[in-house]
Amino acid sequence: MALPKSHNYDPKHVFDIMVIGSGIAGMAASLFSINRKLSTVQAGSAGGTLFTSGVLDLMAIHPIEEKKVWSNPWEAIAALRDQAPLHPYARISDEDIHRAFEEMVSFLNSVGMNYRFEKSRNVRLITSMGTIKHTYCVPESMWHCIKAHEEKAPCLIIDFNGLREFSGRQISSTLQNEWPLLRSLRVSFPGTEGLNEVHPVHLAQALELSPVRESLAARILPEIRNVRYAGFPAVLGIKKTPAICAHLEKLLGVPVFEIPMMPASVPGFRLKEVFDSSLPPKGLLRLIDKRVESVTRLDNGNFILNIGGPHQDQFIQARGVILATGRFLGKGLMSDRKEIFEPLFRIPVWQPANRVSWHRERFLDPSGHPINSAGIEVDDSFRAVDGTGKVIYDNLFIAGSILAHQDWIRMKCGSGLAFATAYAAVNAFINNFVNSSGRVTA
Amino acid sequence: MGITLQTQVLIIGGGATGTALARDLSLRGVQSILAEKDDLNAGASGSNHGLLHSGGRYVSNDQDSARECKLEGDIIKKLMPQCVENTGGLFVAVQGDDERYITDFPSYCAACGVPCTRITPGEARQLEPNLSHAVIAAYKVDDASIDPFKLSLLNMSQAVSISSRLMRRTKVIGFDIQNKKIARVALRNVDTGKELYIQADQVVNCSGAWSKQVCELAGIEIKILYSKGTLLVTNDRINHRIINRLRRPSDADILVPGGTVSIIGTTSIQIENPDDIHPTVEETDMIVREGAAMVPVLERTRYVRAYCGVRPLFLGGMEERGKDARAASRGFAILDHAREGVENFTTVTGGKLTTFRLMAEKTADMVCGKMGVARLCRTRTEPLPSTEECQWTEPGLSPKKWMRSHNTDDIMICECEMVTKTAIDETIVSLRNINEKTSLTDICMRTRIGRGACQGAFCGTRALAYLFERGEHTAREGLADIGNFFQERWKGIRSILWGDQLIQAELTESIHCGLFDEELYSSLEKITD
Amino acid sequence: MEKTLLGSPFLYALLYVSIGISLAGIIFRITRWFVVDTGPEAGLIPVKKRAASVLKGMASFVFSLKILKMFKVFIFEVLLQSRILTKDFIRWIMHFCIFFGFTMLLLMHALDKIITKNVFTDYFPTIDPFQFLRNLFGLMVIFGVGIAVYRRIRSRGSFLATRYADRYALVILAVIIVSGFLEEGVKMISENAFNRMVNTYLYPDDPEDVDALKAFSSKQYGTVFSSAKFNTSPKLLAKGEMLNKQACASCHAPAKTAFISYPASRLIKPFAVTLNKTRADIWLYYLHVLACFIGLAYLPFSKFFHLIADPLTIAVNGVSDPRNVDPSTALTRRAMELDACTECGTCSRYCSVSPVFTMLHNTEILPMHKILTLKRLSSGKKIGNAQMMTISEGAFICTTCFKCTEVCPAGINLQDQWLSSRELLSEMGHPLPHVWLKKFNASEWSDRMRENESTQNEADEGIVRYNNLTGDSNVFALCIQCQTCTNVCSVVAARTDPRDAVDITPHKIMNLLRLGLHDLTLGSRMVWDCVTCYQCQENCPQGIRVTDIIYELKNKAYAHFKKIDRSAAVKEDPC
Repeated sequence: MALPKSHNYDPKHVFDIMVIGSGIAGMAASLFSINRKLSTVQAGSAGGTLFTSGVLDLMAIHPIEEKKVWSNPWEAIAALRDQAPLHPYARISDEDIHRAFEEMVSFLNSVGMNYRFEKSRNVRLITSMGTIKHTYCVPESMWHCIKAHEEKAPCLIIDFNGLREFSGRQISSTLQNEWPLLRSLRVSFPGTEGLNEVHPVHLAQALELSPVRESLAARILPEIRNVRYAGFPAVLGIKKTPAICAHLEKLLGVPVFEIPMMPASVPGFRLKEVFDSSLPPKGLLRLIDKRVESVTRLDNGNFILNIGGPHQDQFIQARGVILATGRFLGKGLMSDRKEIFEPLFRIPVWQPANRVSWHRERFLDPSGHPINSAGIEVDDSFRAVDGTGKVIYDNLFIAGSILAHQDWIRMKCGSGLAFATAYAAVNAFINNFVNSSGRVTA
Repeated sequence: MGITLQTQVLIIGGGATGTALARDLSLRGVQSILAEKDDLNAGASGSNHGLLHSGGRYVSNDQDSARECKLEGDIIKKLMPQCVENTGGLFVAVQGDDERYITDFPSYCAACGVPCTRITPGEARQLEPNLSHAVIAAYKVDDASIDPFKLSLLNMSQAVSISSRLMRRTKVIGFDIQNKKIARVALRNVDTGKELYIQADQVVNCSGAWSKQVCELAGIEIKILYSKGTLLVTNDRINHRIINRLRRPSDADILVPGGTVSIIGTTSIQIENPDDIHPTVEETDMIVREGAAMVPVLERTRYVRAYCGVRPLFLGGMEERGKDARAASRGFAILDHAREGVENFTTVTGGKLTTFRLMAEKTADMVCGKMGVARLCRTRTEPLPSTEECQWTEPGLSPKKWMRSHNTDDIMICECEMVTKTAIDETIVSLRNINEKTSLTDICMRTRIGRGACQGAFCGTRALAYLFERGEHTAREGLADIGNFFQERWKGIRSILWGDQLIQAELTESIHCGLFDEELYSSLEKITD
Repeated sequence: MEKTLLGSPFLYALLYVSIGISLAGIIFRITRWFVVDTGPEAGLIPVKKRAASVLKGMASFVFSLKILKMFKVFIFEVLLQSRILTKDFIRWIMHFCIFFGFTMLLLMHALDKIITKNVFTDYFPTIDPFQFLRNLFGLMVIFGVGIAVYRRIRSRGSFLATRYADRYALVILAVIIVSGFLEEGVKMISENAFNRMVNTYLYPDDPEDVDALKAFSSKQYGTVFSSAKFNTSPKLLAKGEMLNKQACASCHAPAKTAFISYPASRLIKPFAVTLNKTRADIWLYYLHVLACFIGLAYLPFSKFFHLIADPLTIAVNGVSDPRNVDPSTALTRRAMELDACTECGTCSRYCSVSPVFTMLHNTEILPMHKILTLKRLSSGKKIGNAQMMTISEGAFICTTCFKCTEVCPAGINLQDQWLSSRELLSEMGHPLPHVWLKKFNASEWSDRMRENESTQNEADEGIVRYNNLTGDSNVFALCIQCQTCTNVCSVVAARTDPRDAVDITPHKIMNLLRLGLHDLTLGSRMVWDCVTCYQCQENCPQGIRVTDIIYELKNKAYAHFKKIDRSAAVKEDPC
């Protein structure tokens, strides 16, 4: 093939791994890769992680049509392995899944984003809908929410004028039967008096300032009578959430917690902030707000990726690629009236026979929509395979929600899947391309 | 053993005809109750193009309808302007369309008194830049687009303000016929299951696609052909005027601009049962394919919704036309069931939105005749009054009002269509007036909330939160409500989920199932009908 | 007559008159600095206070270490014009030649009786090095003027504006120098001058002496004698040379060292007789002196005034701290700066928005022209509405990027001028769009624009060419309502005023566009407050060009606003 002639291309410089995608799977892949001393470059739209709720699922529901909720995620995964052998989890050992989770969470904690989980237990978390979300690992700032709910303790939920997606009254009313001591209080967020509309991220930014926290606390304090917890929408700061929670607890005299709400979600922004600021210093070359436009493969197998952006083209050569571009929202998968396709490598996408069978007739059908199981099929080292099970490129690895035969939405396994498959993909690359002396082989 | 209500006329069915009849009667001083098993315009009246025909469409195969359309169209434009957007219309032919029809069209129109002027394809594309370059002929006509929801809401609210009464979600379950008269009608509330009786001098069956079933309850056979028509709604308005395909009526040959969107349709598929219908993938694909021949951008554009309705085509006395739905007359029929031996029972069926007023007038004439009421119709001459709570179906109205009033207390609930809480408040009030609680679906029908690109994912959540704040909802009602709401929306998008709208749907699902686990509560859904 | 300074009491009179005019003029212009209106505060601060605060400032300055800094500034920026040197070498040469040459002539030649004579006791204008230097300096000035003229001819139509004041200044300079040279040249060949000299300094022993000297002088200096015939035998010449040594050489360097005047004298030799007859030496002398007087008198009213205003400006701005400025001194400083501007056009050449000028052809975009306008404004001249609109547009397009201030040779704080003049404009009923936009809300603006419906179609020529993003639904139809754009928007985050809060946010703009309510966005705070930080665009999961769209809307809006009479818009102020 013709090598690109561009001042933005250095044919001698070859990266070990190019991670495509900036969602949590892409971020995890990048982290694992740089932790293993591989030269890594990552591209993806800046907004990649913004849509994550910030709570990290592992595995909670199986079989979905029975809505069977597991309190121990590992048992759920075990059950999954023998009933749904094609599920990506079925290709990874519990140990690896656990190590993946550990490595990611310890990284997050190391950069001040404290997460908390118990090894063998799913937790029940209140959402802004008043529903109970079954998940595994939550930000420290949400842990008290779980406790408070378990204890059914007297608790006050604070919401803000103009924060339209979050109603304390809705939550307490929806939960009134199982949690009668849940009350709600509406106040104006300091500095937004009279505004008919406030936005979570802006509130979070404001709360980084202690005077704001103080005047907010002052407005709540009179209502903090005989309650044991105070709950807030998930807007308690972006960079220093633990400190902010501590400060509010000091001011209010009771433990505080956050309740996850719909996008644009602040916990998502926190993850974005952390990845943006902490990975590059660890050696990751991050091409922010750049999408990979096209790919060509050299005779030696290396990929040359054409990174487009608002400004200019750029070419990167990499020994291996980890594709973590997500599903439709992430543009990892695209669709027209006839079929679902993978736009970049044009590798085959396993999918229902036709559009008629993409979705079920009831939106909330617990069995889930068949289209959610569409995706890329892989072998045990997470390399894309074609319909016959043949590996397409020995150095193209797939991670995250783009994988076939999983319904992260219904199974509550999104984050776990992202971490575990990214972990598996990076290790597979090492097994295949890094020799005993730690050199990447051509 | 439910209560029994008295009234002069019981109107069965709250579509365009039923509500217009209620208005017509109350203007003649006749008191009526309108019983609707679902909600206003739940049937064909609410699921059509919203097209006020100039008549051009019927000039070739149904001259009577064409003439009626011309006359009624003028009356509606004059007396109900608040429901009409006088866009004007085009008839265009593309390569491969029947040359003879193209050349004969003007003479057809002339024969029916439908004005039309020929313009060059170039001029047509000037007026409508999105028209295909394959256009070979074009005529200008006086089509207009009309808001059927506003229409029925306004007709009903004037009727109610005078003497009529609306009973939503109340289904007729039986007639008690004694000596050739319906002595009383048994009805049931489909939500509460509560039953009640109504004693009426006259019973009028305006239940459109369901008029056959209703007649059967009275032991009367009528021949109705059910023709299902599916339409697609685009994400933004792609044409200024109504664009008709210049050929004998066929599939997907009308593109109607309605406020901020455009609507392409329709299909005509014969079905056996008018209940529980939804647009299918096959229909959707066919509409897109056909429509794109006329307006190519329809192939690429983003669709936010698909919906379908059932046309009741009355075959009485015209069986010889065979069972081709499209060939059957779109004209209407008023059946005095005295013939079948039920004297105070009338069925009005067939017809089309454009002639709804006329149907109501003629029906009222007959009913009044039977009751010996001499007063004349006033809907032919008197304008339809506007009311506050019925205005919110108008696209783009809410943002205009919001930005004009500059009212800092008015929160925006729906971002796609930019509908504010004021609209919801007025809906709540209007429903309180008929002692009913407000659900998200009610709001969606009366405002534009949930009709935009996000199809409820965001605005549904905000609206729900607001309903809790207003105390309209308590406990688990909210989850049940939003479940139903999403299901209602889902019916309309399932068949158009590809490209951008599929992305939107995935986002909706990952929020409401991925994060909120709402599917685990879906058992709470009360699936209507 | 040599004994006297000028020769005739008449000239004395003229000298004093011109000195008088000059002084009066200077005083007049300097006092204006304390009077004219150069900023919004002007009305509030009485002249007294302005003067007082300046004096105070000066006093406090004199007794501070800044004086050293001032010294440095004076040497490098005022004398050596380092600011010009770094930007434009040719201009520096020009300025240096004129400035240095003329100053030296002034000190060494014009004021010789007062200065040079006291410094060099043996000074005599006709001996070297003075004769030589006089020619040299003269040449420098002429050379400088030459460059100046050349630049103005070459750079016609560009940023450099040439006005009468410039022409006068150059002409006067040229006349002074040229007349000087000619007079010197004429003297050389003048018989009268020779006779005067002989009568004064030669005491002939025998009648032959004069002839000998004549012979030598006509050979040596090219003096031209009317009495045509006298013998020029070598013997006689030798005698003449000897006499010359005795009587003349002590105060007359050889003519050749006057390397301009001498060749000049050669050139005019053919007309010598007539010139001698008409006493050209005298009237040229008058011309020379009068030109000088005119220059002197004209100084305060001409570009020459920058000789005073510039050094002051450079010095003041060189030492004063821009961070804490007393408004009353600021007013005075701005007035002074306006006088300091020599309209050299450097600012315009470096202006970062000057390219816009090439599109809109509104000279009020160019800093130098803006300064000229400010001069007119501050001197209270009446300016028409249309003109005010273009001025306001110029001010609007300026990004106050500080570039002009950086390059100004006169050290004028142009940025400060722009900022203050903006407020001045709004006082005069011609505020910048941002300001008068706030008079109405978006909805009211959309009404106004619909009133101007007729202009809608042209409304699409914005300041910048744009590729109709806002008209193409494919650009914004991708929106999935996630509101990320609004959440990352720093402008929205900064909102605290409820009135702004009912204005729209980025995602609402996308929706209004989809709803076909384009015109509701144009007058919105969001569109006008956008700082184009591109956060929204970078973070949009659907890759919608949010920022580009908003920027385009701003341009479209501006195209509309141009067609609405602002002063009217401002007057009927509802809030």
